[in-house]
This record gives sequence, C-alpha cells and structure tokens, in this order.
Amino acid sequence: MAVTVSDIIAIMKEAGINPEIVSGLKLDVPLFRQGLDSIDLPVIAVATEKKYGVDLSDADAAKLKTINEFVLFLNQKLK
Amino acid sequence: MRVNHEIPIESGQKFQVDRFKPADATGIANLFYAIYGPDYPFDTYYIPERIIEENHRGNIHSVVARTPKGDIVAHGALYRSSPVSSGLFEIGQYIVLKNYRETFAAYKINQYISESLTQFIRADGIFGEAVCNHVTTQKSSALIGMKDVALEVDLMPAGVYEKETGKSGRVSCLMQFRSSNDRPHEVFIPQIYRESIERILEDCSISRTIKRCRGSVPSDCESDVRVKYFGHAGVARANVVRMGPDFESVLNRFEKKAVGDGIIVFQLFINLDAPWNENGVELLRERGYFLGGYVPRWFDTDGLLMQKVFSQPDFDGINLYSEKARQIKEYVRADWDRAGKRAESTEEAVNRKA
Repeated sequence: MAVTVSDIIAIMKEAGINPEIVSGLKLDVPLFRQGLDSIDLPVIAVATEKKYGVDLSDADAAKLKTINEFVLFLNQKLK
Repeated sequence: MRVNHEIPIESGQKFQVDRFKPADATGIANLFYAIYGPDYPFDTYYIPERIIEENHRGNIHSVVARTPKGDIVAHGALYRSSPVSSGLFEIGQYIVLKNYRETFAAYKINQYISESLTQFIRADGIFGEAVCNHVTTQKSSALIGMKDVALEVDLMPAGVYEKETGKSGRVSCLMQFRSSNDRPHEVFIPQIYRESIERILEDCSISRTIKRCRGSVPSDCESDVRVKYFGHAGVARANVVRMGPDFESVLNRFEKKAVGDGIIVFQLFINLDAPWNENGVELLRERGYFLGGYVPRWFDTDGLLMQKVFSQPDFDGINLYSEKARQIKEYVRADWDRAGKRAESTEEAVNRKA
C-alpha cells in the first residue's frame, strides 16, 4: 500500500512535532524553512523507520528536504 | 592510564547504540579527548579504568554509539551528581565526534536512555540542565517527556560558550525533570512561592499534597547542610537537608568561605519535607536569594531551589523553548526584583560574622 502525505503528517503528529507547525506544512517547501529544525529530522526519520520497517539511513534522511520527497523516497523503498 | 592524545576515527561507519561495555572505556576516553582536548574538568573521563569502575558502581551509566570495529563515535549518560537522593540521575555528557554530527547518534542515544536505560537501572527520576544560549537541548529533552521545573541563572561560566556563540557573559540553564517511579508525599511550601510551585507541578505527573509552612524550628534540630564548590565555574551548591535554629550561622560560614574562594553564583536546594522552613526562606530572601524553581525528588522528597548572583542577570538574553519555561523565567525575574536586588556586595558577605 502506497504511503501518502496524510501518513507522513500523522507520523509527525504522533512523534510529537509541534502540531501547529505540522498542520500548516506546505508539501514542496523545505521543512527547515517551515519551522522544523535539526531535532525534528531524526524524530521523523526514526518514527518512519519504525512504522514502515524501512532502513532509513541518517545520510538518506538528511537529503529529504520536503514532505513530497519523503513520500517519494518511502514509496520507492517499499516497492 | 590517562588518555593524552587523539586517535582519529574513520568517517562514515555504521554504528549501534548500546549500553556501556568495559571494552568501550578507551574509546570513550578518546572521544572526550577528541572533543575537549586535555581540558575537560572531570578527569574520570580520560582514564579508562575509572570509567569502568564508575559504570560498575552505578555512579555513571554510559550509553555509546559503537561501530563494528569498536570505535566510539558518540556518548551520553545517566549519572549521579548533585542531588542527595541516589535515585535521581542527571542526564547529560552528550558528545559526538565532529565527523559524525550529521548522523542521528545523539538523538538515538537520547531515545535509548529515555526508553530503556531509566527502566533498566530503576531510576526514580532523571533531570537535566539545558543551556539557554540556544534551545536545542531544551527541545531534545522535551521530546523525551522532560518537564521544565527551574531556571538556574548565570550557572555556566562565560568562556565555555563564547567560541561557539560569539557572545560573552555567563549562561543560564533550564532544569528539566521526568519522573520514572514517583513517591507521593507531602511538601511544605513557603506561601510566597505557592503560585509558582503549583504552576511548575501542573504537568510533572507526580502526586504531591501541598501544605503550607507552619510552626517554629524545633530547638533540638541541628542544621544539615552539605556543600559542594565548583571553583572552576565560580559556583557553590548547598543541599539544605534540614534547617535548624543554627541555620543563619551555617549560612554565614558557607557564604564567607565561598566568597573567599571567588564564588559568584550561590545555589541552595532546600528540602521541603519539614513544615518550619518559612523563616529560613525569608532570611535567604533578605540576603538577596531569589527563586530558582522546584526540584522533584532531589532529597528523595522534593526541594526548592533558591539562588544568589552578585550582578544583574540578563533575563532578556535567556533563550527558552517552551511557554512554561518562559513563565518560570517571569516568576524568577519577579522574585529577583523583589529580593535578588538586595544581594550584598562580596565585601559585605566576607565581612559578615560567621
């Protein structure tokens, strides 16, 4: 089953990312320009790994700048 | 044998986060040397045999990021420090090799400590002191459920962070706490701090019966005050386990010695298990001590932090992540306005009769 934007948003909320920031995120704008920071990235990456059982290396995660890039990457990994 | 040189570690290795094993000790010492050179103030971390001993005794519980070759690229720990209670551990000693700072090593160690280690060692609680020249550490702690409880004004010496931030001046720290195994009990609160303490306790998930201070100090009660001096930081900490009728003279001796040693930041942690502390707290306020906050399980029972500094704090320069922390800062600032400004000069403290 394909990963969707809603799935990533839900992961962020469950992981404790500021809900006000999460609810206003734009899909193609870098997350670091929308109020997220270097603490949030590993939170999202580890939560994603746990939920989907994918191996998301630190280096891979650091390259994913936007929500759309996250979704695309995960769907490629899950094929 | 003390590690006295850096051994380079290959970049790009995979690593596993794990509890300390004795074979990690040399790698931890190498790591501290790589980050701090020879200048870290606690010698233990340069001596593998001592690292093993302190972990074996349970004074330190190290967590490492270890590569398949056995290199240690990051470290964090729970450790016994200033609290009187042996069940309350400080979380910290986080360091990461520069060539591994793009990885999630620090985050994964933080998670491991939070999710596994605290249960394994059966800690009653954990606390941290997050610097306020940036909010990264405060936020990391909040993510593992730690709650804001106190503000330690001007705790850290200026020089430590000048290189990093370009700013001079001492750095304050936000104390954060998380309960693992609570002990419900009564606490006796000086009326002047009731509102602030009730606010601090709101989200701490601990069960306390708040009672008002009452009564006089029993005449047969002797003060029990345990002092630690951190001369390199200019800080003196006193754990006031018990305030007796002799408290004022004990305080005089503590301050006189501290000022003579060049101490400029005074912290008193006051046990809230006795109903007669209100007069002692008022004495401290007359001497320029002001509110720091609430420190759960410090004595196994809870404590009140009061503090004194000799120069005007830069409250506006204190960076805080959460709304609650900013509220605590306002409580602290208001009490500094009422009481902290009275802090005498160092000369007056030295000349006070002990």
